Amino acid sequence: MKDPIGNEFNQLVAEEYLKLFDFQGDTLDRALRKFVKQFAIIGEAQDRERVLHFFATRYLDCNPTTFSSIDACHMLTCAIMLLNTDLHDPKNPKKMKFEEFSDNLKDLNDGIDFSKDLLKSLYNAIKSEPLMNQTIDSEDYNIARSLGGPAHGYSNFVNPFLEIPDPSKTVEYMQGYVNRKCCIEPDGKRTPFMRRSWKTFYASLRDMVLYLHKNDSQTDTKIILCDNSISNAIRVHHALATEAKEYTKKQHVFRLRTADWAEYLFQTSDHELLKKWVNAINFVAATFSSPPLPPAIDSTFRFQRPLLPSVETRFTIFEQFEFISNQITEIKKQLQELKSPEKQVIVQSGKQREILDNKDKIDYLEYELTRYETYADRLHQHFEELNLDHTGSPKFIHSTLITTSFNNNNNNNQNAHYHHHQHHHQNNNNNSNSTSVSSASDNDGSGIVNQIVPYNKSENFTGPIEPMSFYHQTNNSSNRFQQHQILPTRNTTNRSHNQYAQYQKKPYYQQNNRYSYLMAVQNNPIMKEHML
Amino acid sequence: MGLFLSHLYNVIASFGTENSRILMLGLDAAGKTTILYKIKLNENVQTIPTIGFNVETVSPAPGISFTVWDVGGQDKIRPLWMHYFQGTHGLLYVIDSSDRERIQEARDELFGVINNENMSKVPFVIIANKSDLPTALNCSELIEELNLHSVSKRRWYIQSACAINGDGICEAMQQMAKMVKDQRKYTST
Repeated sequence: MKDPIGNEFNQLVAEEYLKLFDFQGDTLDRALRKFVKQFAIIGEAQDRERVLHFFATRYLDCNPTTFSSIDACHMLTCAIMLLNTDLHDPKNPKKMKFEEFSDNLKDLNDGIDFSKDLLKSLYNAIKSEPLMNQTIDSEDYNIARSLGGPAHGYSNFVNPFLEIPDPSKTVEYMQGYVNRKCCIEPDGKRTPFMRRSWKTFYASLRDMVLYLHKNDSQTDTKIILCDNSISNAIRVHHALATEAKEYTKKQHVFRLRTADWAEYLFQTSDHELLKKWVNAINFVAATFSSPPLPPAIDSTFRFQRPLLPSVETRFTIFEQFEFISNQITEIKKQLQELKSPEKQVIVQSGKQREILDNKDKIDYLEYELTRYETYADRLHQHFEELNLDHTGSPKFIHSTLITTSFNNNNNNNQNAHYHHHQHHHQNNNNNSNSTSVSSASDNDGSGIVNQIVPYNKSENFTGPIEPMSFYHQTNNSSNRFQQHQILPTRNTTNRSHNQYAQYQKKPYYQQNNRYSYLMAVQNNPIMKEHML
Repeated sequence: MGLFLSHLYNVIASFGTENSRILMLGLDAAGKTTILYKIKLNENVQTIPTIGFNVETVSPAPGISFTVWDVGGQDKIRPLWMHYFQGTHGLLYVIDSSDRERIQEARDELFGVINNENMSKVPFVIIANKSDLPTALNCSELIEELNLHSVSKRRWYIQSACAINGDGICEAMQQMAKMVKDQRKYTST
């Protein structure tokens, strides 16, 4: 049992503590008042019940003639506590009557009833004067709660159960004026007419939350929390931003679909900004979204979408890329199965519900495929900008082979590595000083190799990635991109150790070292643009 | 203008708010308190908690409000909750889906409650908490372990969740709201 007062020592402490109270001659309610005045009973119902057991034991010690057993005393004590909540908590709309109180305790005095007079006096005592505790006063309590988290207002846009991260600890990826229009609510219905109009906001994308402020004077992180921008905030975990080409009423509009399938349109002032917003949102969603939790199941066994958690992923960006690639393969496989002629025949001959279920499933998978493919493309583009391949190693770029589609890229990348391998070996033979960067001399005449870094995939084994939490804690000074702080990988051969040593002299974004990724992100002009 | 209209919308939506009593049950350390704490943060008016047991109200959707009672505790004081079984509209059952050792205990407790005559028609939502942990059972495994196939003539729903971040709680509450509404319609006709 995970029991806070389960072990022997704790029990002894509890007993000794109770000995400090003298309940002799007190009625049960007066004794309980004495006790709760000094001792704040908190925690879940089980914990409270256990604490009251010690109280009941002590009460019976002081007044041996009152009850026939500890259990009877304990039961009545719990009943009083419950009565107190029932009668005095403003959140309970229907109060317990005396008859109900007494009926509820029928046969609970070790098999017989408690005396009516005793119950009546206890009921009246609690009714006229609630139990009070002096150790918590209302101000302390409010402070404690306001520290625990912001009391955000409830709106349709924000899930009230999810805490908004502290904005001062987040990274801003993009900001600027936008017009927003709500189209589809999280429940799948169209937004009511009166809330569907365009509105101007100063938007700020911080980690996985897109804050919408009334104007640009409110973007200070300290006032975000007090401001009602929170009620307009949109979570972009597992979101997908796409250019809304089919929306012709306005120009430069992009569509944002969130994890719960709500939809928004955003208008920007020009096409370039639109691209930047789409890129920034998809980048954040691709990098930080965590793997889905299993879908809910209800008694009808209808298809339900998996739960997409808002919490940040534990994966590094490279593991994330691998995860996304796996998802794509898996979804494609499932889709193929669902759309296979055999399956279609079975479904068509089945019940109406199965047909609907199948359609929902296909709709869902097709959307997920688009989403993950967009993410993969986006991350790929990001690695490309930093001259890294998807494992975080510096990469040769074969300019003629670069394509934008993810589907083709897998094969092409392999080709690119293969070519390089060849070049590299030639280089080794010709030139003893092989580790220096020599892009010009490496040209084999075709003129397509932009940049060469000695790198051989098969010899330079990249070990499993071990996120080490202490590093995250100790290196908080750099706020920007701290999510990407990545450790050096283990190199398994001597040769690669030598290479590693030589990499130290190179520009950081060419080093095969996961620190270098962080450095590159911070120093690369392309990324600076994203960070604004 | 927009603000006024959205305010108006909320006012209209709040008409006909029906209060329902929801009981929240589960073994200790399943995460009930965490969930209740999430609900507390949603409150606009902050008051000192009344001494006794945990009660919170929550409005998961416009037009509906829940009073959630944390009714944990061992068999011994279970009779005290009988008063609340009567007139309960829904049961939230919280389970630690990563604690494989106590899953049988959780099942016994669940069936102990839903087989009570006053709870026989009450729909229930199981919150499979801590499902982000690597050892967690997923929903279909939990259905097997909890023997939910044997539950007939009653609606249930099982939602994976991670209460500490709040993921899944809103979904569970909304589903509960829907089932409670449907159940009301069903009994009134």
